[in-house]
Amino acid sequence: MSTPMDTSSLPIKNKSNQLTSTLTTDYIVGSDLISIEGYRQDGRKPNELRHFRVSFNVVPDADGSCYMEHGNCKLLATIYGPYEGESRSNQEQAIITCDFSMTSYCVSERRLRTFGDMKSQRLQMAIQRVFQQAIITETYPKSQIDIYLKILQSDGNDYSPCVNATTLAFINAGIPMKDFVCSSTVGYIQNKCIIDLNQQEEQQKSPQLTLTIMPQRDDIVALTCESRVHHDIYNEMLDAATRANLQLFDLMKQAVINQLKTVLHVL
Amino acid sequence: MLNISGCRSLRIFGRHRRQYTKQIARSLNYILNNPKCFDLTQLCVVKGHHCWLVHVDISVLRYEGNLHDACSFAMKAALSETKVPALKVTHDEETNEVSVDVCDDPYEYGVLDVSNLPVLITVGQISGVHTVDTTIKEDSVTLARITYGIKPSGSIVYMNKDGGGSLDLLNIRSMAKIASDSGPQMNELLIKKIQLSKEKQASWGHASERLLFDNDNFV
Repeated sequence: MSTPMDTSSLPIKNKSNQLTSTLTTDYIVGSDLISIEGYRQDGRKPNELRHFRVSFNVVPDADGSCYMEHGNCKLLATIYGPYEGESRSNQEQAIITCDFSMTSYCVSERRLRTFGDMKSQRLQMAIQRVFQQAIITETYPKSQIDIYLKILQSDGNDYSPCVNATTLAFINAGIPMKDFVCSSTVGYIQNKCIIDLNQQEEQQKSPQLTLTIMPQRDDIVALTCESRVHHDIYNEMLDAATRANLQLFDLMKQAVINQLKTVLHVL
Repeated sequence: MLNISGCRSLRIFGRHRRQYTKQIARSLNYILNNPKCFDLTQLCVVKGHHCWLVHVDISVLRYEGNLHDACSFAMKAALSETKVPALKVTHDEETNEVSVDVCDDPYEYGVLDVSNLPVLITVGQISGVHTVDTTIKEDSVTLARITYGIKPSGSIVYMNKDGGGSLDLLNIRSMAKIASDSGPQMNELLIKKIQLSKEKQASWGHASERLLFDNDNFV
């Protein structure tokens, strides 16, 4: 007698739980990020990059250096090399090493462990692998090239600005590369793809994708997606990321051309 | 705390580099915690209950010699510009509790008084000649150097000898004289530059739109 009543009441309870829990969390999370007019929290449109500014030759005794401000993310990339490697070094190619460090004041809470932790080591290895592919290492056998990255102010994702700054520093150093390497992130919130996420947008539980490409060669160097995404949305995000990277490539190329113009006028 | 990771012109690596940074941090620490140089009571909020904790983090972007002095100049300049947020202190009579709230207005702040803070001057000896403010090449051949902490009035508050070379008493006396002459000069220069830099900044609105290493930012 009592059991049929129990089983009929259970599914109703489950249904109401599902409805209330997903709807409310969706609205709490999503409505803060894109307003009704279509602008994000920091005033950008969904397909707009953050303010991008570059300055070259910042550390004159390095072979190449680049100071980059990508929105709130400020970082310094310096290149030393190519110089004579150790005796056990590769006989046909150059070795590329990467050293990544943050300052204590780069995030809002003072950070004591500035180098050597898991995130830094992963980023070092990732950047080293990316540039081992991108640089024509056969021109410098038995030598070593060092990349030093220092984050002065961090705004969420460090990997993309680091890759972009390192590309520009390599161009400043005059080391031959197969192509520019551009990287940017893309997210999917409220049925729209938004590019170039800042820290607030990254902390949401929405799908994210980081794409590193060589724009002129149309090659994907690295692609990271650690969220569960439907494959239609995935294709859309991939397209949006490619467009973002092409925008970034235009900005980077313009910066390099401006630098060349100022240097040649001085000469 | 001093961070020199990423500076390759400093030709010491690994454990020795950490010791070197700790040495500089220790001397700056001594200067800051000395009641005659820095008035620690201005950091007090409620006597016996709350006080401000100040962390000084220095990141070296490029090393060209004379790191001791440069760090002390940077520390003094940064401390003179530090904004201490205004606080609301409420004292509950019944429970004898003191609660401190930070004001929301970002333009209400107090400044620290660093007029008495000493500045480090390093005097080195290279084959009988005393040098001040050495470059990287001069640093590598200096066998003995003394770092003096000198107040704006010219009096010496801190002295530390570094390096494997030996110095006799006559040398030490003349080095002390050189340091106490150049100390007040550097102090005045530093204060003048801080003043100029403050005038260049906008007093309201956002910070300047220029990049960090732009020549216009420097004074």
